[in-house]
Amino acid sequence: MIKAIIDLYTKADIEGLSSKLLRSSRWQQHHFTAMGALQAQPLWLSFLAQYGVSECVSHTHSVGAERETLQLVLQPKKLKNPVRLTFVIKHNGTFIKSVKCVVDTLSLANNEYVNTTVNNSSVIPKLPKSDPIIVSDLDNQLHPTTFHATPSAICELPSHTARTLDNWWQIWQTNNLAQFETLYTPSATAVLAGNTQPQPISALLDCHLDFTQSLSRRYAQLETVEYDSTQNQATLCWTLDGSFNAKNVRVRQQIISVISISDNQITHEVTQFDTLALNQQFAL
Amino acid sequence: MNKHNNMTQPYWLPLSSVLNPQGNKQQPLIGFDDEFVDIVDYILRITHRIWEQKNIGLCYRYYADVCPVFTLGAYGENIEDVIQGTLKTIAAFPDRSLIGENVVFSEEANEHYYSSHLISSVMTNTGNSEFGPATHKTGRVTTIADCVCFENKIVKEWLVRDNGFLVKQLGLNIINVAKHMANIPSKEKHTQWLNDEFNRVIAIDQRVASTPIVEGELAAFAHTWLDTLFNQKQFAKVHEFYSLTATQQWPSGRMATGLAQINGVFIQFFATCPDAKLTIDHIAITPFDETTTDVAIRWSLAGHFNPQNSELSELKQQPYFILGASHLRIKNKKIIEEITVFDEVALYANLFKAHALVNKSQWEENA
Repeated sequence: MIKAIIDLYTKADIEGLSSKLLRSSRWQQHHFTAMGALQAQPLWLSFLAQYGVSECVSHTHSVGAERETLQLVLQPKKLKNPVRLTFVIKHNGTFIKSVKCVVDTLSLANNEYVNTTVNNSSVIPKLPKSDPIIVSDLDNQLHPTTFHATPSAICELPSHTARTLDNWWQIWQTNNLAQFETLYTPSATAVLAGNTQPQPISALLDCHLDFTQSLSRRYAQLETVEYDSTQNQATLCWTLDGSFNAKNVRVRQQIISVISISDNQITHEVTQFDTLALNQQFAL
Repeated sequence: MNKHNNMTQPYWLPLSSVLNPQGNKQQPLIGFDDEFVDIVDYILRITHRIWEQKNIGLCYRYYADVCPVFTLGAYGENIEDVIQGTLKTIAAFPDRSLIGENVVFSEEANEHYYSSHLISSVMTNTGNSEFGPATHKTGRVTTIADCVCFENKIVKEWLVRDNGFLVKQLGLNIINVAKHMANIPSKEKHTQWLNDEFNRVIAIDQRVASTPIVEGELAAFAHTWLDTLFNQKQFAKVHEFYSLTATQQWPSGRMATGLAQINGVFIQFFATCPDAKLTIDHIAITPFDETTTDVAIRWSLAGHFNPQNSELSELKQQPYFILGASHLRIKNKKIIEEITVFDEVALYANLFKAHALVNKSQWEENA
């Protein structure tokens, strides 16, 4: 499965990946859900047409109980700088049932074409029309009598890892920002949407604070947690609901975080989300 | 609950395997063609043949001459209605796929089988349709088709489609489409059925627990789920029914994961019909895998409309009726996945139609 995805971008092998999809498979990308190869192929072809075939700069891969995670850093032939794609894949060894793919559209938008026959210096990603979802307003408070998902409640984890991930979740669920001091190693790095390079962990705090400034009445919800014990690495798919202050509209951002742990502290975190797709989906 | 171990389960099956089942016969299927190994296989393959291969004439083989088909937007009575409806849809959406995602079934009395078929379709609107002129846009839509099958034929059907989500993908406004559809005259039998169903459901005492229509733990769970959340609106109890990361798909793009979001969907939806009462009209229960079970529920809702949108304010307090269906995937006594389908466009179209009739009769009285 992993090879088929890499080959899609590095060899334009549409057929190889198509043969792994069922008609009922969901490929979620840019806040759009494609069903089967019929709808996924236009997404793949659009990427290849706009940026060309890529060289794989790096790929990392982890295996959880139900899903695998693939992180690709690609150098598309038509672009000056690399771009990161993150995949969370549910499959049975023969067929893929679902893929959540986050393409870092911010880094695409900050990119430039190599041969600037194209008239613009920045790359404007061509996005499919996002799913027209309704984000129902909700009570975002954590009442003593309500129940909310935590990593350890939805995934079997070693006790130390459970504590680390639950504390990490408190950063997003309850704004427990003091965790940044204790939860991360002093040299920990973060890779965030918009930049493929590792940054100091303070950048993640800034990212969090940016969300707090643009979204009020936020609510963080875990979707899936996968843990790879051989790498001591967890992949968390989650969403952040909130009211977009500038327009008073309820929005939902899809986020994938890949967290590497050593001695119960986080050494590296990749947090990816598709800002341009969010803007399109909710007309922000 | 049906306990067959080797029934067809399409979740991981490619179409080629669906069309060429290799297993042994799992059910007697008396009166059905020999080629079918079980009722799931029957439903999946006849659906493919009729709609995807465009063998519409096969309806004569697989539908009874008299076959009532109930939808919120229309009523069909016989085979000719089925064929005409199928042809119109295929003409407007020529590339429509019908991807059988699941078939939950029950074995009923007298060699009858009840199937609840969860279907996803991807379709491009290249022709004029009930929604208006062609939009040339592609959308995906969820349908649940509940059928009573007997001796190789479907003899009764309840069909719900999430047209609200479809029309939004086609770039259309649900309310405008509903107004357009309200101009299409209803058959008298459809109006009569809607009125009868509304009166049946509105008459229940929603404070009293409903009596399970089939035996078993999961049927009782389904009744309590519906009684507690839908009839009694005790949304604080959502955690008793859903897992912490349960996913929920409701019509017109209402998507939720987890208890808070699911509560949000319920509260925002039921605000449009605060006096809603519901009945469970059919339950089918089928194992999905060793630890997970699928429950298909057909239900009806009646109440009065409380619009949350100023464009619908003229419809306030109109009688409000929904034919709905839900597929629940249950693990460790909690729902891990819910797909609920009804036609929100037809719902509003019916409200506009009823409102126009009231206005007309008042005008005639005054005249």
